[in-house]
Amino acid sequence: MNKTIEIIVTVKGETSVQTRGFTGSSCRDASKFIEQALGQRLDEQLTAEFHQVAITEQQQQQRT
Amino acid sequence: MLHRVLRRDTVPFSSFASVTQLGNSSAIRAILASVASGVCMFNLVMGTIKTEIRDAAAVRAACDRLKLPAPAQGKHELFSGTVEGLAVKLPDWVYPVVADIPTGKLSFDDFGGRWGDRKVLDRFLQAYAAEKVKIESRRKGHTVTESQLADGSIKLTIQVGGTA
Repeated sequence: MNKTIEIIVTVKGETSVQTRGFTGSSCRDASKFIEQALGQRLDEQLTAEFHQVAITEQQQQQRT
Repeated sequence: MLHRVLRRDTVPFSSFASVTQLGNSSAIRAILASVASGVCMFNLVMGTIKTEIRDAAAVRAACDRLKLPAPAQGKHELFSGTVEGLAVKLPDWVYPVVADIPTGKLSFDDFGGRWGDRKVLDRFLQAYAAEKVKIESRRKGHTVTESQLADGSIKLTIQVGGTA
C-alpha cells in the first residue's frame, strides 16, 4: 500500500494531518516535517491501529 | 461508514473489536489482516497544527495564490506602533499584517474587525499553510496533489517517496 500523508487546511488556517500506510510509529516520523514546517501542534490522536501495532510489536518481542 | 469509524476511534485496542461487529466486509478483513501481520495499512496518527508564519517564500507564494501585492520586508506602521517584519496588505484592511519570520509572531491591528475582516486573515493563513506544505513536501522529493473541499478547506495528499 502507498504511504501517504493527508493534510486538511481549514478556512481558519488550522491544519490536520493523517498518515496512511506506515508501519508502527514510523508514521510520526513521516509527518514530523509537516509539524515542524507549520507551527505548533495543538493535539494528537492515535488511532486504534496505532495501539494495535504497538501491542503486536510487544507480543513479538516477548516471544523472542 | 468504515472510514468514519476509524476516524473517530481513538481508543486503545481493547475497543477495536467493536469494528468487527459492523460486518464482514473486505475492508474489515483487510484491517484485521494488517493487524495480524503487524503492518498497519490505515490511519495511524491524526493531529491538529496551529499555523505560524516562518517562511518568507511561502508568504510570497500565498500572496501570489490570493493575488495580493507582494509582501514587503521592513518597518511598518500599525496603529499600536512601528513593527519590523514581512508585511502583507490584505484586502480592505487598514493596516498591514506583519510577520516576524524568525519567531513566527504575527502583528496586526484589526480593531475587533472594524479595520479588517478576520476571515480574510484566516484565508491568508490557509493559503500560507497550503503553500508551505507543498514547498516542504517537494523539497523532500514527495508528490503533492491539491483539492478543494466543499467547506472551503484545502486537502493536500502527499505521496511519500513520489517524484516532485
